[in-house]
Amino acid sequence: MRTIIAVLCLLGAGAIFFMYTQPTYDSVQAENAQIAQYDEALSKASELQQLKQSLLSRYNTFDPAQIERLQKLLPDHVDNVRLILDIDSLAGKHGMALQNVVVSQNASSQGSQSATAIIGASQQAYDSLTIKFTTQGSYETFRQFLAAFESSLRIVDLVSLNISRGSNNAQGNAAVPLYTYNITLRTYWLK
Amino acid sequence: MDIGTQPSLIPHDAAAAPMPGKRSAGGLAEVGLLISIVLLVASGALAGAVFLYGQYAQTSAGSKVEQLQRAKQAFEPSLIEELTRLDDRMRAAAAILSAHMAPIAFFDALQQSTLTTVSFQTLDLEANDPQRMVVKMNGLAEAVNSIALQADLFSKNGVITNPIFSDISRQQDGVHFALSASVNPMAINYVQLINAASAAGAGQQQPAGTQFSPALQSATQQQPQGALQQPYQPATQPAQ
Repeated sequence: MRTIIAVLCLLGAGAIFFMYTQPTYDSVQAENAQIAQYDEALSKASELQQLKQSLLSRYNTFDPAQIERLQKLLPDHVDNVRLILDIDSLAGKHGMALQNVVVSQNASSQGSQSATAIIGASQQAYDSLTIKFTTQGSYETFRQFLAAFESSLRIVDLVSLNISRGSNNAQGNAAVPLYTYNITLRTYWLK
Repeated sequence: MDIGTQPSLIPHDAAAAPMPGKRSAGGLAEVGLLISIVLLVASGALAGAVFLYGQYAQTSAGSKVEQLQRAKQAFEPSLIEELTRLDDRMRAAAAILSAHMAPIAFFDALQQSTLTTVSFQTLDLEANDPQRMVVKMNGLAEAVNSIALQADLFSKNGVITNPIFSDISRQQDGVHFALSASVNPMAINYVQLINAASAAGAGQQQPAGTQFSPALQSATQQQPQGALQQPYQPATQPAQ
């Protein structure tokens, strides 16, 4: 009888150990490992919080007007209709008229090689759009028109330019020859 | 006299020797029973301890998760997104600006290095890749010597490089030619020109408040003298 009780006790002890204690202990160990990860994450969070505070203090030193200008320099959306209107308005200021406007999106990715090389092809944070149009005018007005593009706040790159001799000034000023300009421009926006 | 037997009060049966095997088996069973009970109790206690430990670990993990969630909320994801977007914008703008070219500088250099006896009738500038800009022009010169001199001037020019004159043909109105050349991207890089102008103290940078307001208006107000606008004067003497 005692032997049977002893054997039952031993079996009971083994069963408790192997069927509950050990699996539970293993799961607790796994949970401890997770807690260690949480601790590490909390530590990193604390460091990041300090970093965020330093970045925030730097961000607060930025002039909001400059940030707004940066937004115009590289907008969030291409808004090609607005862009064409701006170009047309600019051309109008110089007495030139836009003709044959063709907009093609993302067709110039091969052309932005230098910029792509800096950022990396897979990390390129911006996209581009090309606008092709024809206009006419004197060389001097064209220079002013081109200079306005060159130094515009919204970055506009010249992709190609073709100048050919057009007809003389219809207003009778034969000393100022007119030229036909086929211009392809590229502009950018942040993805 | 019988001396073989000693009278004694102790019964002979009681004095008989005990059975050692039976007693040791019973003791071993008792010890075994005791050990097994101790093991059972210890196993139960251990299980209880592990249970409590598990509960503690669960509570601790839950607390850590709450702390992490509070830390995440403290990060203000919208602010982080705004800062990240601004960082992306600044980097992308810097990359694009570094490749931004100033074609006016090209035209300035062209008209400065163009002889009065040479004029260009067409121009084809290919700047799809800012590092490999190619310009092709058709022109008219007073004489072949003018073309030779023009080639010499272009070779000294830092903007127009590798000029190749071809298709030279003398016609009634002068000497026609075709020119193919490369454009030095460093010479017309917008950022470098602005930096050089700032360094020289000559750059009167005008803040561009609107999208197409010129920042280099002074450059655009220069009176062009040569290149495309230069009127051609027919040669009065045959080309030498």
